Parts: sequence; structure tokens; C-alpha cells
Amino acid sequence: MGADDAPVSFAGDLFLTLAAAGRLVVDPVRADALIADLECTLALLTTRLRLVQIWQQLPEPAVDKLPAEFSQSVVDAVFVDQLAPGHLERAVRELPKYIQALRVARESARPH
Amino acid sequence: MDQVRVALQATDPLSHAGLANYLQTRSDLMLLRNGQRAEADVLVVAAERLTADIVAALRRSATEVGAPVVLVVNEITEAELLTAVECRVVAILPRPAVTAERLVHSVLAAAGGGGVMPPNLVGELLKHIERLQRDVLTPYGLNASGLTPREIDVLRLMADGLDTGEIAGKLCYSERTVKNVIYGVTHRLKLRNRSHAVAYALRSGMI
Repeated sequence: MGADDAPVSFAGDLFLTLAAAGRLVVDPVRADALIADLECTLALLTTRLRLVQIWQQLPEPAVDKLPAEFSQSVVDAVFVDQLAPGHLERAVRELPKYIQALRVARESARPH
Repeated sequence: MDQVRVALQATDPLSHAGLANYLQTRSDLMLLRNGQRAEADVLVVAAERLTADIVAALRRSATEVGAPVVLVVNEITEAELLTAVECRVVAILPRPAVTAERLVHSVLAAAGGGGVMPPNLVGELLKHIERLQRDVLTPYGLNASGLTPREIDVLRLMADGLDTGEIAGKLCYSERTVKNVIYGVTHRLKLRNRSHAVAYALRSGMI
């Protein structure tokens, strides 16, 4: 493929469509590994999103008022959200589609 | 075995003639004439790039004919790959590397696969998932590495509130060099401005 530096676009619906049509067939071992990775990523993003939402609702947000064990996570989450506004919410909506598509694609690979 | 009926579409006559020649050498393939496209088992589309016109034609074909498509193209980006797959493309051949053997193999696989994507194309799609995860976790590849010692020195002095001239004096660089360093780091990491660069470096624990 050619060089593609643009931010990656979400294609959860396409993956769902391909899997449902039986066009996307993925070896179960590969699919399980990808599903596990996606579930980890989704859990992390969900936590980040929650932190951002809590941060945005604080009347006077200040990192130094947070417990030390949370402050770095909050800074990381807020920083990422500032770099790519809205991307986090979109990712949390889209990743489950990929997970579902891979589950279907994995079943298509099993002998019937 | 029944012949596989192939419709061919190319953006230039030379490519059309060359690909037609490859397809006509095989007795198990039947190259359809213009106007017989609706009867095709497989569609071969050749183009330099996946332009908007080509995508529109592929979408129409996917709706009207529904046959799997073998795409012969110079290069394709990840975004274009997703669009192509959506339009029932099941094989993508790099144009400079097309041989009669590869083309025929892809056409027969497309005809026999019932629209199922071959492993190499699935592999490309799975790369999209891996890249997507990296992208959502670290937008623009930002993490705690990737700055040079010179960049760190400049960012540290920026964080101390020094202006370009003062930084140049401290580090014995020209002002132009300092500006280049700042431009380089903000451009490479896609940071918005100097303050953002300092915030990034502080957050990453680099200064």
C-alpha cells in the first residue's frame, strides 16, 4: 500500500457488513488475539473517557488537587483528548463493532 | 468446467489491450464485450489510482452486477483500501507487477471464492485494526520518546520562559537554528504551537 500518514478512519460498520456477508473470514487464533487486544484497548479508552468527563465536570479542575495515584492518568487522558478532540468517544463507539465483526469472522472460518 | 466470464474496464486503452491479451490466452476465461458487463462473474478494473470516478463506477457495479472485482492499481492507501473492499474488491494487484499468471490466478480465485476475501487482503484489513488501536491510544504517535537532546534543551529553556534570542545565546546556537528546532519538533509531533510543545515535553517527563 502507499504511504498513508493521515489519521486512521473508523470502519466498524464496514467490518460488520463484511463479516455478516461472509466475505471477511479470519483464522480463529488470529481473531482471538485481535479481539483480546481490542478489548484491552476498549477498556483503557473507556477509563480515559470517564476520566475526561469527570475532569470536565469539575468546577475548578486542577491537577495538583488530585490524589497522586490519579493525576498522571488524568493528565494523559486529558492530553490525548486535547490532541484529537472527539476521537475518544468515537473510538469507544466503534471498537465494539470491530470486536463483533471479528467474532463473526472467526465463526466463518470454522468448518461447518 | 464452465468458463469464467470476465468484464474488463481500464482507464487507458493501452492497459485495456494489455490486460485483455492476458485474459484471452486462457480457455477457462471468457472476456466479455462492452455491454455484457451484467453477465460477468468477475470484473477486472485497472486504473492509476482509485479516483472518485473509479469509486463511483465500482459502487454502481457492486449494486448492479455484484460480481467480485480484481483491482489493478498503481498504489492504494489504507483509506482507499477500505473503500475498495466496500465495493466488492477481493484482490488488489500492483499495476507494475501484473503478469498474465497473477491476473488469471486472481480472477479464478475471485470467481471461486464467492466474494470471500483472500488471506493477503484480509491481512491488510487486519493491519488497519492494529493501526487503529495505536492511533486511538497515542494520537499522532505522541509518546514519551522521540525528542533529540537538542530539542530537549530548547524545550527546557522555553519552559523556563526564555525567548528565541535568549535560548540561542544560552545554547550558543543561531536564532535560526533555534527556530528550526522548534519548527521541527512542533511539525513532526503535530503540536499546535510552542506552548503545546512545552506542555507535551512536560507531560512526557522529558523536561
